[in-house]
Amino acid sequence: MAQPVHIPRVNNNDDTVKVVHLAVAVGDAVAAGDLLLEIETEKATVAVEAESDGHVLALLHGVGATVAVGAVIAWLGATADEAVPQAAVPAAAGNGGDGSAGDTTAKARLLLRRHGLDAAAVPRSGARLTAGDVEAHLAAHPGPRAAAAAVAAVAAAAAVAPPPPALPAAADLAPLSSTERGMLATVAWQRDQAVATYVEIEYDPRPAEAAAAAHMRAHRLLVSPLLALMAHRLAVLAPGMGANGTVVEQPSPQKVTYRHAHLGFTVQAGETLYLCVVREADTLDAAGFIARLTDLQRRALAHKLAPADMQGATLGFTSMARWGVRRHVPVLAPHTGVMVAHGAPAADGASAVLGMTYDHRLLSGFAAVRLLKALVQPGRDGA
Amino acid sequence: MSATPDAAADRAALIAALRDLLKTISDNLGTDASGLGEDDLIPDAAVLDSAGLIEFVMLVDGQYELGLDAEDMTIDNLGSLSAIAAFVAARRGTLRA
Repeated sequence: MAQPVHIPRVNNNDDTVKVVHLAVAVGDAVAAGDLLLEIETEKATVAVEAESDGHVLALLHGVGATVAVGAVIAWLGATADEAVPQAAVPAAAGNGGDGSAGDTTAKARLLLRRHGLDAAAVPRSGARLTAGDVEAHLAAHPGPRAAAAAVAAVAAAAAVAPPPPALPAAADLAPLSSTERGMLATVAWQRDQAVATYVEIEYDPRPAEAAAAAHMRAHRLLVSPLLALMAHRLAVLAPGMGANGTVVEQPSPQKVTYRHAHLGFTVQAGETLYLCVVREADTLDAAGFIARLTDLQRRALAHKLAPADMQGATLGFTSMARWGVRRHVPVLAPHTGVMVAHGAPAADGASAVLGMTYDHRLLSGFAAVRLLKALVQPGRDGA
Repeated sequence: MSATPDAAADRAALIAALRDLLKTISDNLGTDASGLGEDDLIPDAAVLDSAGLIEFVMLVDGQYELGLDAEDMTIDNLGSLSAIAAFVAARRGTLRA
């Protein structure tokens, strides 16, 4: 069976070569390794040798011809009288094929059209131009057409995702952790869905501290219930003061009033900030609320909260007093209307600040202050 | 009845270990727990805040595998270093005093 001899690729930059010497003639017997011809690129002259013993059946290009890499240059047969496959013989010498449908596969034609290429410009590895030939050519020549395709791809991507912002300096980018994504969702909700406003009052913390100490002694508690009692007051009083809700604007503006107060209480556990949720906190007495909250705090510190323990807050309470922070402006938890911020007392212990971020669509400033003043009055929740 | 020398040594070692655990939290909060007496009530000592105290008790629970329940979280059980030491010893069944 006749075997084709192809023009080898000499380097990645040259898709065509020039035949500079024919060492054999049709009918010659050759042995494997014999020189058949020499080809030349801009950088080198390369010998093309016979890969097996046989006879030269055909030479398709003469000296001086420019031939595409991969094109058939000669046919060898086991005997001198073997027939040369006619379909494989190019109709026009010089480029190894004319690009007609007959010597180009359907996939190759599709790729040629897609990239605006001429079949004659693409080197072929065999008798027919294949998709692999076109892809190899594209890979080796990321020219204007490929660049245009890349630009089009980028433009298409840009149509669905905005480009990253221009950064003022060299920077490394990394995806957010799950904790960071959670915080992003919270702050994004406040930014996009609420009308967040802040107000604070200054008060004498000593009555509340005394009440907490009395409760602690009475119940032999290990931990001061100061913050828990204040949070409990929030859960009990907020529903009656219009603060246990939010406002939705779509499809039409509506005020949301939650049927129970599910109190979210922040717990910093290492680097993680949890919002533990005491569900139906408005139905609990102070002792029951403290027990539930203490249990949540323990599990938060052990990073053993269940997802339900962190979901569904309708109110929020947070404190940075343990770090000596006297005031801070907290962020609303999603779908809540208030987040109360407790701070450390002044050095003399006689004054402290209680602040609150609130949704101004839900509460007026007056209503917000009234709620804060109620929270610092022990006994208002019956504890 | 007085404690045996071994029991006294065990208790002293336990108190020292508890102080080390407490110090890990007080250092984080920037408070000084070095003056805390064995019988001082920790919640009154201004060394740990409420969250810090819970954190400390959880450390003790984890260290000595106490399996604390909510009802164990009282000032009588865990309010001072000496109370904690007694509670730990009782839970471990090693009280020999």
